Amino acid sequence: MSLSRPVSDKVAVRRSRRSRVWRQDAPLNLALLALALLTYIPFGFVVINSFKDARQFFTQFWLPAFPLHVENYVKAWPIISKSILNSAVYSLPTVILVMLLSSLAGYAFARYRFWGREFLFLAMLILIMLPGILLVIPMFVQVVDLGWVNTPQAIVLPWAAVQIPFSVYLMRTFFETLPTEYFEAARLDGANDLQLFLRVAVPLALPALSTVGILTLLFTWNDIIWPLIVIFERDLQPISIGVLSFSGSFSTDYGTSFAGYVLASLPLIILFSFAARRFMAGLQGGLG
Amino acid sequence: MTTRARDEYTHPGVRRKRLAPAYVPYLFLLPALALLVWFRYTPAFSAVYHSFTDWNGSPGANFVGLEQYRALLQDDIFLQSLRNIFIYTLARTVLSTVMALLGAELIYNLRSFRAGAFWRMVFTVPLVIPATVIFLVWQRIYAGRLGLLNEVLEAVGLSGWVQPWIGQTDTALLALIMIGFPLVTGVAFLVLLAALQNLPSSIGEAALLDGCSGLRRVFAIDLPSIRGPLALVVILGVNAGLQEFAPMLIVTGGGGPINATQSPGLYLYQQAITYGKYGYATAIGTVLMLLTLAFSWFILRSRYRGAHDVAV
Repeated sequence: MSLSRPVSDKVAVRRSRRSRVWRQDAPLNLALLALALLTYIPFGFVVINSFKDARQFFTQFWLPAFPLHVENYVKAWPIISKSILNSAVYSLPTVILVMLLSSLAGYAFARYRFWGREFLFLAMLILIMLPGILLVIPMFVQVVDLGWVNTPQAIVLPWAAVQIPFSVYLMRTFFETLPTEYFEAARLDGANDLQLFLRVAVPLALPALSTVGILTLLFTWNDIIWPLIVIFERDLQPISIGVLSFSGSFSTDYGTSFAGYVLASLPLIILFSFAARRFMAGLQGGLG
Repeated sequence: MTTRARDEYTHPGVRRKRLAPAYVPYLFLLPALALLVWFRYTPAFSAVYHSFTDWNGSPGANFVGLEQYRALLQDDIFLQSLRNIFIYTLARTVLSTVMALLGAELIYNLRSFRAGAFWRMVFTVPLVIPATVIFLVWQRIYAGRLGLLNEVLEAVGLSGWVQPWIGQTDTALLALIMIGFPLVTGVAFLVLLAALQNLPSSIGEAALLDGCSGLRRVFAIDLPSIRGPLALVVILGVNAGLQEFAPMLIVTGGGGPINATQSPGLYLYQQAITYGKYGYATAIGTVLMLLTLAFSWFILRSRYRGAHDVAV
């Protein structure tokens, strides 16, 4: 009896504090709810209408209509699945390449002093300001001369080059925050430069590396102009172009188009839901 | 032992010869630099060089001096596209920065940590939806017949406002600017929220003790404290805006009615790919580059004039 009193008091205190927090947060939560609704309504509209045939779309615009036409998804799948696969083939090597090259370069800028360091770093930073569209024409001619049209390397190498400058900047900033003692200790234990990088720096840099990886993945998943220019073959187009085919061949078959949009969005949404915490930490880890 | 190791770091010249040969950092840099020289620096110089030629894709371009630039100044479509992109970039950057800041401030001011994490998640998820899908969805929203926006207007009794938003000259550009509204979702939101959450809480507490709270704190303390990240967000927004090309191509089908949404980026693409006028297209690109560099320089300069500052 004498023990239970203080406990229940504590619970009461916590409860009242929670309700006070809730009351103070209420207007903010309401405003955020309004913004979230505005953000999500278009997507909800797409999902609902992806199950309708054309007649249902005309007569029942707002609400779900029955029967659900799941065959819209069956019709959209062959087109979308191919471009999802293509996107994976282009995006994965790009992400790995950018993580590798930018951590190497960021490490050099952060941990060594060498002739031309600041000049090289500035020369790299200025590339961030360069409009990518200016380079598209000479790069296209380069790719044609190499005979690389319709090949993965025509996409992967230029994409990696686009992402490297900002990634090097993020990696350098991160490596500079690591205490030098770690490296000195490993050095005294006889580690060489490559071992210092691989065994000490990279394991500690996983938060920054995942930021770089996620930003690169988002860029490659969204880029429209470069695949439009170097991939002529329809069957080799990534998702950002593949989904456009719905506005042509299915232009009045709204349900199938909407099903295609949903399918095109699914891969990264699934990836996100499996690794939401790491994804969020990764996105903010290097940006803070 | 420790002092020697520390000496080695602070005076790298002293013992570097034994521990790390001078070429080591260059080896680390080499792969990234090689790729950048191949696919960034060389094309950049090539593009600027070819803007002074009559290049049409085949080898052997004639040097024509400033001829392409003279032609650009007399090209009404190009001038129209410049006007469009200035309006688009200005409105879009202001709107998306303000909305991202609004979302970040609302979450930052929440007392409940769990609610903050929840909302941050809510506004991050749409980031993974492919940009093309967003464009196509908004094309449906703006559609004249059975478009979401027009149906909403009908439903709330504003049928007088119903119009073909992307099919007429006076609303097409505005429609492109508003794509993705309310525009909280984006990297800008994450950058600004991270910057706010990294501020030491003692600043906010001290402000509260001094009777500074609410909106006044936002303007007097929060905004000046996150000037660095804010400048970064604006620079990235302006850079992306000036070379924008995809929404003009996809949503308004290649420049909109009577070039109402024509942009220099799209015009460059059309001149090069459709007409093979590479020299003319690289001149457009060079003008874009000069504009981007000028804007970035302007923003960075005004940023470094401030006394209290936080590194980007």
